[in-house]
Amino acid sequence: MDVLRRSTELVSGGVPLRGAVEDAALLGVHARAHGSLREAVQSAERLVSAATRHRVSLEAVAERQRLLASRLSDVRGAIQRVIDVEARLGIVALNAGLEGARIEGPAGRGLMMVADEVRGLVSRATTASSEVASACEEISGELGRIDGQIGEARTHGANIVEEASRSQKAVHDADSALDDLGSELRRATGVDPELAEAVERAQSHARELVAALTILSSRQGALATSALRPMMEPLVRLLDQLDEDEDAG
Amino acid sequence: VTERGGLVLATAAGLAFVPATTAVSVVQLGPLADVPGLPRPALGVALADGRVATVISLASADAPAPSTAVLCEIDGDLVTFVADEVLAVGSFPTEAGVVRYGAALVPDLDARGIYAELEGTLWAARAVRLARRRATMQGGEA
Repeated sequence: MDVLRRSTELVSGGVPLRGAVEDAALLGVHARAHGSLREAVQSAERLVSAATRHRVSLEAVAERQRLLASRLSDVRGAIQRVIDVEARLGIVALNAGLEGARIEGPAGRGLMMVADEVRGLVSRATTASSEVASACEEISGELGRIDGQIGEARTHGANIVEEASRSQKAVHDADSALDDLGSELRRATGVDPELAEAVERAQSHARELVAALTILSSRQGALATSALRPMMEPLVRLLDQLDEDEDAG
Repeated sequence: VTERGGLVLATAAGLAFVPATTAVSVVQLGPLADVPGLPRPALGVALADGRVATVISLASADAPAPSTAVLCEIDGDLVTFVADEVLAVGSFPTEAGVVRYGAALVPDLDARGIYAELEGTLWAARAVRLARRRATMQGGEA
């Protein structure tokens, strides 16, 4: 900032512009804060939007879970009907065997053999049905737990949406306050924001130029410096003066 | 080798054989209805193939609620016997009048005796109650 201040003093014939530079810096800081806050506003809006999409997705999952639970209930009903049929079939097989035991000769024996075979099949089918029924119970339990976790996720999601909305409002308020602050700064300093921005840019360019000349001077030595001297004379004088000032300081 | 047809039941007291001549059929029981004054091991009455039958339990105490039973007709009365399980049905070889099921000799279920004892207990209790009522009624009239 000192380099720029001194360079502007030189250019303007020694008239101090220190206040204008500091005002420009102040407005520059304000502009950067404003830019950051704009990003924060957009980020808060994206957060609210993402939280809303998350809630919609969660509701879709909950709906699928309800559908699955309903279908599982149908499956359990069907399995129960199969188990009932197996029980009836077992009784039919027992009665067939009993009837076979009453009938003398090969006909009775044939009936008993068929009854035995049917009873064996019924027994195996009943075991399989029981395993399926047991698996259904486990799935039902898991679905119940998923339902509970969806409920928790729904609560957390609602909290996120609420917090994000609150943040969005706070950031909007801050943005508005910063706008007011900018207006107050412009009124207090009397600096045009465009001029302040131009001064900021000039300050930045001057810094970069001085740094580049320093590097050039150290690397290429006197030859390059003398070649560039006609163009760089004013800046060289400025640098010399700065060095003298720093030595004196 | 002589054979006898019937059912082998697993009961709380061990294996029991129900001859095919005693067993009418194996039935699925309807809901049980309690009968006041009916002593154990009778559980009550239930519908068996659309007819009311006395239900007698031969099952273990921790057995699940009965759903199937062996229906027998004893002196014109329908009686169902509930067991832990119907193990086998068919013709079984006999040894000294007792059927062999695997390695076990299985005695016949004394369905008639069990039912008769039950009826005796039931009617004795009813006779006592009837006598009390009569005595009360006669006392009231006097």
